[in-house]
Amino acid sequence: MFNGDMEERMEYIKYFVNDSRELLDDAEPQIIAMEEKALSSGEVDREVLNTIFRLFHSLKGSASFLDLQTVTRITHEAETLLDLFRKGQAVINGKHVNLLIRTSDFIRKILNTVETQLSDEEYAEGAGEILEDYQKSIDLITKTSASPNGLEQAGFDEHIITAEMNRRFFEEASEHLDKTEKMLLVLEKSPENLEYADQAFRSLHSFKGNAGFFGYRELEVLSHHAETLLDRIREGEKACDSKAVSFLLIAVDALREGAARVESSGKLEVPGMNEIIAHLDRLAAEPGGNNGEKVCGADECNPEHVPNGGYEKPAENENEVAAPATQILRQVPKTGNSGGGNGEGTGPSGGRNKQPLPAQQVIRVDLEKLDRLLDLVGELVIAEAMVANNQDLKGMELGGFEKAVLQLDKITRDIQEVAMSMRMVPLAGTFRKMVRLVRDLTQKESKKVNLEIIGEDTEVDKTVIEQISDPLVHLIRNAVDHGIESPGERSSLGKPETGKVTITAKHAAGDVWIIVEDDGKGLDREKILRKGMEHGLIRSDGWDLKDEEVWELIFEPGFSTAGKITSISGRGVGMDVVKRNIEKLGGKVNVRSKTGAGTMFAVRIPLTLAIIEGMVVKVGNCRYTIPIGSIKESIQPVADQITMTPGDLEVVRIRGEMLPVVRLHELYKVPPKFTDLTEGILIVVENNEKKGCLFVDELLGQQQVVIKGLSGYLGRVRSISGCAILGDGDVSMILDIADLLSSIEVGRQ
Amino acid sequence: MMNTRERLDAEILEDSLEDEDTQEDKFLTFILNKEEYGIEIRYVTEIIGIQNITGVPDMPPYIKGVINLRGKVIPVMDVRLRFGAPERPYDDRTCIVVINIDYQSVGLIVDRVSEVLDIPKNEIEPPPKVKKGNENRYIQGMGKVGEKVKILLDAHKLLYEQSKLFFEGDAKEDSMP
Repeated sequence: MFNGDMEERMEYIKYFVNDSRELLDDAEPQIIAMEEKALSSGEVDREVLNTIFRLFHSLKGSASFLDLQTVTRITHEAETLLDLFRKGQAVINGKHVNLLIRTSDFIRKILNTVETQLSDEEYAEGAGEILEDYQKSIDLITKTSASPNGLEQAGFDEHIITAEMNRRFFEEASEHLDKTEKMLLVLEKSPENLEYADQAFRSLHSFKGNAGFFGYRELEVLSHHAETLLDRIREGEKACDSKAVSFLLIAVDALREGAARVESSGKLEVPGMNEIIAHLDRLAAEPGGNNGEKVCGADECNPEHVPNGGYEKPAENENEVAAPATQILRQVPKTGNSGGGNGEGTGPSGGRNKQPLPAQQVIRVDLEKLDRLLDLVGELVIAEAMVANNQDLKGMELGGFEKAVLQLDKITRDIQEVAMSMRMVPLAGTFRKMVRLVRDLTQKESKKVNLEIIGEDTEVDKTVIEQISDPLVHLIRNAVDHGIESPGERSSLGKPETGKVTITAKHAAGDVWIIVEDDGKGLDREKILRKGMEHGLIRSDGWDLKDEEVWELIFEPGFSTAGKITSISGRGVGMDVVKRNIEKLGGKVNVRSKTGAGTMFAVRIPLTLAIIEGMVVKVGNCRYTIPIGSIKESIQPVADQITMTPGDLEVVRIRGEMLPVVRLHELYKVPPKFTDLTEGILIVVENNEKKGCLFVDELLGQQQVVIKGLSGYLGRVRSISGCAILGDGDVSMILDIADLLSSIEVGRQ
Repeated sequence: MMNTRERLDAEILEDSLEDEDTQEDKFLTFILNKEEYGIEIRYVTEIIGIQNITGVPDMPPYIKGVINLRGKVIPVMDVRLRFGAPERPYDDRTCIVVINIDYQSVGLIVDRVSEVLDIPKNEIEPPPKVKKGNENRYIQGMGKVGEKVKILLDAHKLLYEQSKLFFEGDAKEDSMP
């Protein structure tokens, strides 16, 4: 079917692969949701079924367009099976769901190959098994079905056509027709560009497919004839003149009207259909080239002439009928229950399609370009600071300049915000994959687990999305495999049989938190300590360790507490990888656990590339940046306020509170200007209700800094969350206050 | 269809071969403690003068810190110190050779950069087997250029050998009992 040249094909394949992955991403959770519903209530949500059907149908359409036969065949079978459920000939069960999910996996596998090989031929054989399984399932249903000849019928029984299905069909039909129309219109403007003809053809083809499936024979026939003409045009066998386009548009309008009548009255009739078909056929049969005029008599071929009489007379219903054919305005007939969007006219250049799938107006941009833009914006922020704080301007009266700088500053921040937001992607996609994971895991282990997802709209940087998936998979696996008990065990403990795993995402203080919680048995302190000793991770039996310190052990390489190795986890490669991957993102992971009540993993990841307000401080010759958000105040203490504890810890009393002091020069081993606390400055910092004082030489001032990751080569550095490039181009370390404060805590015990 | 693909592949291959051709056997040489060293040119992305270096805590002495390379923060290593040679104050001939390995940019501080040399494979001898000092680990071979010998460094080993132990040992020690 595809005739474009190689590069075009590559381009199409690229889009196809991307789109298909998205489609599958959409389909999987739907399939699982459908199964859950079917299991709990024995009913299948028709709407969901239809959505899934459509997803596979779209896939099939694109695949067949690209001549990917294996994908086409598989999706066709999936469609057939789903169709049976839609017709109510069988109720979907777990086996079917597994098959559908296997299909989804298989197609993904094919997509990976298609991406590079541009063909799916090598999977032709591998598909055999899946195809067979489909055949079996389909045979089983059709044989046991109450009405064995139901399949042979072109349409299906009246009572199955619900209002909802009608509405869906109509919505989709108008969508396809709109697209066809839009393409025809651009095609008319540039008839030499056959790609438009091709797109029009595809949309019309989809419409035809749907009409055929619904058994709307008339619509199918008419679109078939229009399609034939379009096919000849896109093959270059037929010149595309305005007459051809006009007739095609007339056909489109007639189809729209026909669909509208079906929708409103259930009556299947397409006004003036035979005449239109005759004209389309005549045009299609013309021996191509530019000689269309000769064959066709001016009178009968005048597009304005023919069909108007046919269908401009309003039907018996009070619907507004389509505008005259030459005036291509889309008018949706008003019907009682067709939902929103009635009578909304779009101009000939085509407005937005309303689509049931989440398709926004988007363009695809090379990630590299985005990164470059962000880098430049970062530089801009720095340059702006360099101008605004330029030493040469010191002491000058610059009213106008300062105003201008203020304005510049505002715009710079706006640009920055927009640039940052462009890379932000909601976590929803990643989280949805977890739905699937949990389902697979529970099936394998015959556990009952309910996955709850909170805050999937939370947006994080794209790089974070890419890298958070693996750690999340590990955490969820652990929760299901180690955390949640078997149903029997649970009920004997008085817990509900179905366990609960919750993933929560939220923004807090410039970080993203992703929390994975389960209500399972919790971590086993004794077991962990025993393992810790076996592996030489702790010296004593660890009786004196705090729980948190014990839990930390599970992140050690090679550590695994699973008594037996299951097929999915327990090889002890999980948690240390989780920790390492999260740290790679500059993040942290904390564990909390309570025996018998569950475990919680809290992953904290910074928004990469973020820009923060920072206080730059000086210690000796070094400058450090402290995020403004964590600074409470800064003071110069008097001797009375300072107490030295016997454990060599300095404590400062501020308004009745005793706060520990961290001398930055000691922490980072830099020679300071002051060593006496009363000479320098104490900065009171706070994080999570932990407070402390940082001792520095002086404050240099507050400024906006671009966060840059510390090179991966250096690994993680104690209490440093990244670097900032200062106004003069020098690099300054950004202090990780949370880490700093918790390190004093440990030191204090 | 296959034909076009094969053609494409061949082109890409040719391109990369061409690249390899121009870069193969070429070494950037630099002086370090009076000795001349070489590093494969394909790793080198640029050479810059000495810059303000910001120290990073908890690093081995040869990691001097980080610099701002046009908005990118990259670590710099004093190769002298890496080899255990005595430190020497930086002057206006001190250079930072920026190399890129596995998408990781690192600056190497050297006394001065000398030239780019062609040293064909048959002129390169394996490193001496004598186990004198640890520093031989970073050597990839000895390149003969006329009467002189250049010490050819293994860039990968220079960056990663033995350094792992150090880097992984840090923060955990605090949290562990």
